[in-house]
Amino acid sequence: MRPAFTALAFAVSAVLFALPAAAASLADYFGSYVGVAEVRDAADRVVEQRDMDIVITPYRRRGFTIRWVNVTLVDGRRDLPGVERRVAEVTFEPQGDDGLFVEAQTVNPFVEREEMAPLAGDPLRWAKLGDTGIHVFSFVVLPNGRYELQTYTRRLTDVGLDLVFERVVDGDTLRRIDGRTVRAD
Amino acid sequence: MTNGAKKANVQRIGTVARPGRLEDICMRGATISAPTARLSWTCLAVAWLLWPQALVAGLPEGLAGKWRGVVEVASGEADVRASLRALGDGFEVAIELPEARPLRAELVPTERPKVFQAAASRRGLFGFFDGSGRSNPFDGEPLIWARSTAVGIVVYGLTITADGGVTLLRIALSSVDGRLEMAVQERIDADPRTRFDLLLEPAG
Repeated sequence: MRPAFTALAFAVSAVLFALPAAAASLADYFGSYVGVAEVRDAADRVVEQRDMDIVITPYRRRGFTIRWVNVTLVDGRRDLPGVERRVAEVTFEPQGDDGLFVEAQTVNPFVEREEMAPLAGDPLRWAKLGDTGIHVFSFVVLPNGRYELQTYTRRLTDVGLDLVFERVVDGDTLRRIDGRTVRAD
Repeated sequence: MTNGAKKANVQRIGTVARPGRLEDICMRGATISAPTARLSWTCLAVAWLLWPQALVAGLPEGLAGKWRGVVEVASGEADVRASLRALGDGFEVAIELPEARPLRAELVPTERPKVFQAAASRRGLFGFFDGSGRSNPFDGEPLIWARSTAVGIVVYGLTITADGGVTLLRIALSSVDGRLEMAVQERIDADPRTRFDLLLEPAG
């Protein structure tokens, strides 16, 4: 009896350990994060250091807003002339139930909705909530017909959120940013 | 006027020949002479005659035709096919790659020079709202466009999947000694996946 029980215990343990960790839900990402990042150029050289704040909040019932502030440091400091501060915000609404989120359009009932025309330069922005994090994509067809794709991947960690950003132009990665943050609630 | 003053530079204006009926119509209110106007209209006529040929140049010489090649994949060898045809002021393209959805489109000029878009998306991304059946990348339909280069064309296909993933295909085509050179880059989400360069032979 004992060998059979031991074997069963091993089998149950094997199944439990083989199961992947539960994927994070959208709500798990909500919060404020502060951290640092390194910017690398196409030759993989560190060209900038940044402080960054990220705030992820719910939008309506199933969407979300990401707001981020980047402060480009001067000699590793933010109290010297030449420091740059940039703020950006984008809001996404779900499209379907499979993890696709599309940038929410501002609705003005008094203005006719304009058609989006990617080949005229209108950017496409969307997000993907997957097992490996929230991926935000920004895509644009440039005037010369080449494309620019920016990808932001934000992954939950034990202490906060890690960020990987890539800027790709016509297949070539021109810029990469690696950042790490801690939750600051 | 003093003796040292310069003489005024006066040009004698010749008699204007009486214009013909067509010129008479075209010259009403004109401020230029009839011979100049005649020359201008001739230039306009020549430009009008050459205009369609300039637009057809969207498909560079040597690319039109049916092409076939073979590429190695994990399971062995697989066919690669391409078909290109000048069509009006644009061109038609069909490309079949292993383990990929075929890319087919009629590409027409955009307002941007040397940039072409699929005929279906000519009037905007949300054109499907008016029932015309145009594509929308957020509904899974590929966004296809192309640009012409000094040596050939580059065709692109962007597909956004229902789970938010993205596949971005970049196919550069050029003519090399009677063959078609094809350079393929595929990017899935943030990762470059497939890259190969291949020479395709005419497929008759």
